[in-house]
Amino acid sequence: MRKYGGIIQKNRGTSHCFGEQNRAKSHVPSNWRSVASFALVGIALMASACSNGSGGSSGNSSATIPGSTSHTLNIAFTEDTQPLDPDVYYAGSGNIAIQAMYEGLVQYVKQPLTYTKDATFTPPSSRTQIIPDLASSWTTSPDGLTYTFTLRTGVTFHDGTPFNSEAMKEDFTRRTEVNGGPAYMLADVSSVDTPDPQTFVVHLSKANNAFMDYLASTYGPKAISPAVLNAHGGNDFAQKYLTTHDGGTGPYMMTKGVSGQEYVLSSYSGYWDPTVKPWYSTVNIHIIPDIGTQQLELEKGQLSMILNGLTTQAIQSFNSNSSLHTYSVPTLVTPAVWVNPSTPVFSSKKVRQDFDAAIDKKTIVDDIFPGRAVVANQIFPSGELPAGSAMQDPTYDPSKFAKDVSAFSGSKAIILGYDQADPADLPVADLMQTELAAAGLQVTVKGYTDTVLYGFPTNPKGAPDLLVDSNWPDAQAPDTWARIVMYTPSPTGVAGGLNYLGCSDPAGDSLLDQALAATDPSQAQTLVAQAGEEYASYGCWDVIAYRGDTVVAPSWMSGLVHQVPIPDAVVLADLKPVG
Amino acid sequence: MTSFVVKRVGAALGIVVVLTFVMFFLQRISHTDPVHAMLGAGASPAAVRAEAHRLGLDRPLVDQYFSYLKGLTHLDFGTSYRLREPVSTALATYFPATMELTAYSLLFALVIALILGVGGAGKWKGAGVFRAIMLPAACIPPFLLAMFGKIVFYEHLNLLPAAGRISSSVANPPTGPTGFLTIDGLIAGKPNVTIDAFIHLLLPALCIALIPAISIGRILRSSIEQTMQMDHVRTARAKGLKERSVLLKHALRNSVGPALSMAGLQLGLMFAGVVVIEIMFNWPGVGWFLAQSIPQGDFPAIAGVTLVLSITYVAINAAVDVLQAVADPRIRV
Repeated sequence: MRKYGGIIQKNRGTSHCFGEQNRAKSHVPSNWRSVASFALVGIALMASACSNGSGGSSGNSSATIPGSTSHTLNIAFTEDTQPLDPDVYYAGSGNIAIQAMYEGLVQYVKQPLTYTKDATFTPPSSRTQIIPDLASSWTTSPDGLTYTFTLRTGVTFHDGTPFNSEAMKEDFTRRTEVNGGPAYMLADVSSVDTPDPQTFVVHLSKANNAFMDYLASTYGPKAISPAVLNAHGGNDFAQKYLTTHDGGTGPYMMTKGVSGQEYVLSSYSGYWDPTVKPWYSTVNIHIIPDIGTQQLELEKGQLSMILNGLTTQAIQSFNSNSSLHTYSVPTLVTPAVWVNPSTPVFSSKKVRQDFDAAIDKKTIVDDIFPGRAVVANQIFPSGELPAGSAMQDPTYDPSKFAKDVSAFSGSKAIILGYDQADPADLPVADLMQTELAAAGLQVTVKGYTDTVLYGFPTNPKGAPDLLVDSNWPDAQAPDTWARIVMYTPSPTGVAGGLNYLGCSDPAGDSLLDQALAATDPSQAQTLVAQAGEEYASYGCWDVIAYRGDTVVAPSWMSGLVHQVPIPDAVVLADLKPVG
Repeated sequence: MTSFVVKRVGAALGIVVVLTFVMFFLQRISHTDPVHAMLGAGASPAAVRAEAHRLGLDRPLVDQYFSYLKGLTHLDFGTSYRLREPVSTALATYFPATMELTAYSLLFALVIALILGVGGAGKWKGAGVFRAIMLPAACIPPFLLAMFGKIVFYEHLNLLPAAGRISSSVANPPTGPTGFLTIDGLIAGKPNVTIDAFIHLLLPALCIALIPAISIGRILRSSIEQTMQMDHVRTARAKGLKERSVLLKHALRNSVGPALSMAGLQLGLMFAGVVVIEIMFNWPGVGWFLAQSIPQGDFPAIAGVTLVLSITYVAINAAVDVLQAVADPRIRV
C-alpha cells in the first residue's frame, strides 16, 4: 500500500483532473453512450477523487520533498525474506525494524551520520564500542566462562509485562529451541542463573571472546515478553505469532503486519528511557523490491527515505538534487572474490596468490563504488583489527597471473559467478571478466541465487570457479567473519556457511579456534591476526573493498544515527525534522 | 455433450498433474539448499538437518511427491520457506488482488476492443485511424507500457499512483467479503476506498488490457465486416436505416461471438501476463508474491502460485471450449 494523503491535501482545490473531459460527455452522440459508459464512469470517479481530495495524487514534482511536519514516516524494504522474529531473522532489510522493536542486554554504540555535500566515505577505523542496553552493567570472570549482567529496572514489554532476568532466561531457551540461523550464538552457553530479578548470569562451556559481540549483534538474543511466549507459544515457540506481531521492549511496536506486504510500527508510550522520544509516532514499512519505484516514491514524497539498494547512477542523480541529502554510511560490508581450489587452474596456492595480485581493486572501487567504498587491505572487514595486521594488500601486478595461465595446459574456460541478490556484484564480475580475459582465460559470467550458493558447500558439483559476493559479519568480532566465510565447512561444526566453494585451510582454522578461546584480549587479537594472515596467504578469499551503505533522505530530515556493525539500518527513534 | 465436457475436464486435470510432476522434480534435482538459505549462513548443519526433517525434505523423493499431491487434494500447498506460513494462507491474501486487477483488465480490454472493433469496421472517414492504431499498439510489450505510464502519469503529470493497491492514508480498508477493494468499499459504505482502489488499478489494468484489447478488437472488426456483407444487413439498409443503426443494431450483435471466444482465451493469457505488471506496479498479487519467492528458492510458494495460475488458465480454456461447443455443435466433431 502506498501513501498519497500528503500530496492530496496539498492539492485540494486544484483543477487539473478530469473536469473538462467529464463535461464533454454531453457532446457524445447518443448511440455511443452505452459504448463509452464504463470509461466515463471511471473518469467520473477520478474527477470525484480529485475534487474531494480522497485519492489519487497530484501536485507538481517540486523541488521540496513534502512531509516535514508529518509524524508518519514511510520507508521501504527491498525484500522481506524472513519474519521479523529476533530468533529467526537473519538478513538485511529488516534490521531497522528489529532494532526499533527489540532490545538485548548490550548494544553497539550509536554514531551520528553527518551530511557532507560530496558524500565522502570513510570506513570504520576501529571496533565499535559495546555499551549497556537492557543490562546496565556486566562483569566477566577471569576464565571467560561466566558473564554476570545487572539488569535495568522499570523496563516493560509492549504488552506491559515487566522485564526481568526470568524473561531473559526464557528468550535464551527459546532461541535454542527455535534453532534458527542465529542460534549458534548461544551454542556455548551451558546454563543461565537468575539469582534475583535484576541479575542474569550466563555460564559458557568454553571460553568464547566473541560472546559479548554476539549479544550486541542485531542477530543476537533479544528480550521477548514471556507473556507473549506463553500465550502464543503453540507448537512453534510463538514463531507464527511473532511473524505479524512483536513482543519486545523497544521504542516501537508492531501494530500491523502482513508478511511480504507491509508492516506498521507505532511508538511505544511506555518506553523505559525518558531521553528517547520518537518524533515519528507511526512508521509505515512497505515492501518495494524495485529500487526504481522507490526512487520515484521518494521524489514524490511518498517515501521518507531510501535505506539501501541504490545503484551508483541513482546516487549520483540524487547528489544533484538539492532537496535530498545523500549520506555515506560506514558499515562492515565487504565485497570479496571466492576462489575455487578444485578448479585445476587455481589448484596451486602460488597461482591463487598471483590471481589476488591480478585483481585491479582500485579500478573496481573507482568504477563500481565511486564515493562509497575504499580498497581493502586487510582480510577482515574494516576496523575489526588494527591497521597493519592480517594484511591482504598485494601490489597490483597482472603479469604473474598471466604467465601462470599461459603455462597452464588444461582447460582455460572458467565460470565467474556472482550473487544475484546484490546489484553491485554483477558489475564487479563484469569488470573482472575483462581482466581475466586479458590474462588468457575464457570467462563466462553467471548469476546464482542464495539457495544455489548455499548448496555448494555440501554439494560442490556445478560450483563456479570464482565467485563475487558482498557480505557483512554477524557482529564486529573478527571471528564472526572468518568463521562463516573461511572456516572449513564441517558436517558437525557450526561454521562455514559462506565458505561457498569449500576451500579448507586447516592451519588458519586452528589459529582461529585458539584465538576464540583466548581470554587475554591482546593474545586473542594476535592469534586472530595470524589466522587472517594464514587465510590471506592461502588465496581462497580475496577481499576487494570496504563498502558503505548509502542512505538518501529529504534535506529537512535530521537525527540520522546508526550502528556500524548493523547494515541497512538507521535508528528510527532518533529521526526527526530539522529544528 | 457430457462426454465432451468430461474429456475436456480430464485433459485439464492431466495437464495439472504433469505440471506438478515437472515442477516438483526439477526443483528437487536442482543444486539448491533452500533450508540453509532459509535459516541463514550461521545455521549449523544440525539445525539445517532438523529443519529439513521438519519440512519432510529428508524423505524419499517419490514419497515427498505423493505427499505433496495428497496435500493438494486438501488445498494444502505446503509451508512457505520465506513466510513460515501455509502457502494457501498466502494465496488467500494475494490472489484476490490478482483477480481484481485481471477482472478490471478484462473489462478495460472489452471496452477498448469494442471501440477499436466498431470504430475500425465502418466505412466512415475515421475508420482508418482505428486500424492504424491497432497494428503498432499490438507491438508494445506491457512492461514498456508500464514504464511509459509510470513516467508520464506518475512522474510528470502526477495524475495516477504508480505503486500499491490502496493509499496507506485510507484508514481500515475492508478485508472482505469479495476481496475486491472496489466492491468491498461499496459494501462497507466506504466510497473513498472504492475510489482510491480504482485509481490505483487504472494504470496497471490498462497496461495489461491493451494487447488483449487489440486482439479482441481485430477479431471483432473482421467479424463485423463479414456480417456487414450478409443478406440481413443488406435488407436493413434497404429499409432505409442509417449506417450507424445498421452497424450497432444488426451487425454488432451477430459479430460478437468470435470476439467473445477470443476474450476467453485472452483472459487466460492475462493471468500469465499479470506477473510482470504486478512487479512493476508493486501490486500485491500472486505475481508479486512469486517474484519475491523465486530468489529465495521458496519452492512451495513458487509451485503454489504456478499451480493456481495454471489451473485458472486451464479452467478458462476448458470453459471456452465447452461454451464454444454449446454455441456451435460442429466443434465437437
